[in-house]
Amino acid sequence: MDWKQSLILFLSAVAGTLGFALLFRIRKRLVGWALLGGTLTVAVYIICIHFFEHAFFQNLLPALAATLFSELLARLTKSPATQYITCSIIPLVPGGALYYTMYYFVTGDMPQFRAALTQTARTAAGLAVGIICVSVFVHLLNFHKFKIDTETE
Amino acid sequence: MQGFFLIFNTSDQNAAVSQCAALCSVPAAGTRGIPRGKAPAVLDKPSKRGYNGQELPKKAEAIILEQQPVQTQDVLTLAMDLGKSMIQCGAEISRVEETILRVCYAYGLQDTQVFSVISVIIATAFDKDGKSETQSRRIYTYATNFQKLEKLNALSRRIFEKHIPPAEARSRLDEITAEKQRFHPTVCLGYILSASAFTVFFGGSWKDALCAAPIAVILYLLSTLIKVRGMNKLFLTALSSAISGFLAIGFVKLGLAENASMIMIGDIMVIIPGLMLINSVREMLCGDVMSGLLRLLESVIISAAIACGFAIPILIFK
Repeated sequence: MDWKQSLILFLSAVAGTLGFALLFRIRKRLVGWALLGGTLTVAVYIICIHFFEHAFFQNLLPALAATLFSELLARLTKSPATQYITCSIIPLVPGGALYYTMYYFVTGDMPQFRAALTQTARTAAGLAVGIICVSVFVHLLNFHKFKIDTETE
Repeated sequence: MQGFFLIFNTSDQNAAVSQCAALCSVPAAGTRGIPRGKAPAVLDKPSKRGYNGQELPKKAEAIILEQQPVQTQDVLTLAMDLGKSMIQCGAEISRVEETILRVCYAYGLQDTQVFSVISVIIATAFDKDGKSETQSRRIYTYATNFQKLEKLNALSRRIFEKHIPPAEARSRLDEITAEKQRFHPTVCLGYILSASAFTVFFGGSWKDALCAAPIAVILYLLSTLIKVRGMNKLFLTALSSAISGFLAIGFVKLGLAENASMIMIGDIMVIIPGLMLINSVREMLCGDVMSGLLRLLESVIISAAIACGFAIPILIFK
């Protein structure tokens, strides 16, 4: 992939992030922060596709970066981290892959369906694991404040 | 301990003391979900360390001084309504459950059990006499609304940090949930921008991006119909997919755009529940298997409806 293609990919992903930030009705003064998170994630993603072949790792690292950044922002702006995480990972969400999976399923093209399903599952797993790896530790830091009784009797 | 002395200055000493007991004491160890070995706070030795070593509400004394007994029912209703609104605007299940527990705790209900999936919340709160109050909420529609979520989050933060009176919290919650506006220009702009951007992202030209915009507006208008008439969500999704598929192919036939499949994928990105899929995997890995499974199934079914909708125009104009 040459630099021009990468640039188009980058700019359109950032515009998409802005679009989703508006769609999800994020507060106006926080739109800029969400956009910054999206920019960071897409930048990491574009670097990752040059180094990794597997969709899991291509998405794991951007998700880690996005969640770290979002949790920091959440502390700074005293608002839920979910909104930043959601807006940041939007360009990586396997919407296209999920659609193609179901499309090939509906039209009965089984080899293509299997390939698309694998892609969707790997991407989703990569993103989810990336988010969880960070949020587990953040939750650990928060945990002393309020402890839910999970011990069995 | 200034507050503690103030209690004894009030005229009705006995009532104040009994209410203090309600806020400070916990049930005996070994009963109702509290494991043995954790020493409950004792009344005659007023300690700030309560159940699970957590600090007791700082303004608990203030609530007593105002001589307003907090009803279990009111507190639970408030907590449940707060939780319901949070689910409706896109919060994670674990966060909702924690908020309900913390709101109940802040008003002195120290033993609350809550279970929630995306479509229902059930919670039981026990008061100091061991009497229980159970409520449930059913959630039918949800749409991501981070502005509202942030307000709800700020409210819950005020409840468990500042311990504002339940009545004040109630009126603030009503204020937040009162909004009934149906058409939001910024949301519409968001639809247009993201559809056009993802058309380019997947390799479409600028002409394709322009053609994706009017389709996105139609998709937004159709999505508002759910709230208006309570229309079946799956049918509406399939219908709007079919309409946008026909429009995309129509634009290409008229010569306005170059690649119909690029326009389609741009518009699909706006309506496909890809984010729901990620969240479902996240929830399942975090331990909310039930909720995650429901979300996963729903996202698969909705995307199947979208695929069916787009398959109609694609197969007709093959």
